[in-house]
Amino acid sequence: MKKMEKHELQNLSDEVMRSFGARLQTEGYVFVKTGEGKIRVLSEEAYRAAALFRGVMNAGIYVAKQRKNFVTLTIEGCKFVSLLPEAHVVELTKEDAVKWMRGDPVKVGKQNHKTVIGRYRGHLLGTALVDINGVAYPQVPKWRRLPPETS
Amino acid sequence: MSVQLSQDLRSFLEAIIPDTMDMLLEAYSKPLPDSFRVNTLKIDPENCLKLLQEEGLTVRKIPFTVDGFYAEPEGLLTVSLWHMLGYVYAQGPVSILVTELLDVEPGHWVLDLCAAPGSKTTHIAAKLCGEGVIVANDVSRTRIKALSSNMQRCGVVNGVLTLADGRRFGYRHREMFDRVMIDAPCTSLGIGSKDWSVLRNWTTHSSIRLSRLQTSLLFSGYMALKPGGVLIYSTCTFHPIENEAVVNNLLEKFEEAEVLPITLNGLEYDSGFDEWGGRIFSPEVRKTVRIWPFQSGAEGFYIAKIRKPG
Repeated sequence: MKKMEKHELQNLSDEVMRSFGARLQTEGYVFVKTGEGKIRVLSEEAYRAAALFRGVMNAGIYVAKQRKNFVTLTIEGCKFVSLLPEAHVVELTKEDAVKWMRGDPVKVGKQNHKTVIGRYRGHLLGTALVDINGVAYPQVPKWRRLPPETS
Repeated sequence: MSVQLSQDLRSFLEAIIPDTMDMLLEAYSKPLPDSFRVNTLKIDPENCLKLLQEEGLTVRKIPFTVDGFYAEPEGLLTVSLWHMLGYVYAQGPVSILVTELLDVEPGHWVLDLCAAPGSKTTHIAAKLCGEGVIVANDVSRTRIKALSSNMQRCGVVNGVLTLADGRRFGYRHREMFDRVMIDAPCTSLGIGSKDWSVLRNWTTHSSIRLSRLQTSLLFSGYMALKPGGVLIYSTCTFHPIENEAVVNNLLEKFEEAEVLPITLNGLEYDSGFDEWGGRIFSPEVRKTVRIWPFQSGAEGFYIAKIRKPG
């Protein structure tokens, strides 16, 4: 696990700002890069502790993935951003929030950006990629999806 | 269909609880209640309970725990949006109690030696409130995936997940932890109502075999403990060879180890045995507790709380 350098963290913050119009909160945490562009966050004490043990599989939580021209945030990653007024957030109905958490496409209307954060009654549900027809494809991992029959 | 016991198990239960065996069989025939705790790393209990009630769930406090609730109707909790977001963690009532007995405080370094799938790990993390470290170890690469997912879902930023043999872990990392949780692999008689095949297939030999592993894990956990630190050794089974005998082995090897009394809030329990099968245990072992499913209305557990002086 390698701590992200200052410039790498700045790049990530810039990407989050570009992708979501949101500010990444980094104070008091260590950001580390793992494989496939994935970013994890952990407390400073946990980072120091992780260096002491053998067989460390991972530490902290997975918060973001850096892709070619943009970044996506996990549900937990959304806790590490402060949303600005111009943030790319879509408000979801209960029905759409359930669809979102089932990993099903959700019609959100045409957007000016590739990515949006889903929000239901103030609860952030992670990010989705939006196509040119305004359909959002939530990036919910399979293990975390609501079962298909959930309504 | 009725509960079927192996011949070995029937003989064992007739010997250990001759007067209450029928109550145990009745408890085995009922499903375990749906219960959970609120993940306070993500939401406060009051708001969370409101959200669950809006989903049609009726919640009721588990009287013998601080953090636990029963949920009705069955099956609704784990398919709710709030479960997937990590606001609640479905966990057995006595399992919740076991973690509470560890007395974790923010800032502690805590080791969960046999951590998968992460129920106790994530509860410990909630108790730490982001301060200190929880090291979650497991020996199984398969089971560690579930552990990792649960730590992610609960938002544990101060967790370190290790894949290592718990029997050696404490010898490599001596006196590093304020608290150690050893919820050891066992024959699982305490959760027999989840899977009746456990009851059909149980043999005395399976308990004897696991007892060696449990003793090694307890020794290792004790080594990892700082002077003044506290550990919990627990199993969800009943045979004294997996329980009292294991604690007694520790007391024989580490004479300074101190068994702490356990206070349970209104929950009935049995004290640990001071002898079994002709083997006499240290009188200290009487301070450990055995909770039967007919006492808790849920799982059965054996719990020992041990302190390393210093």
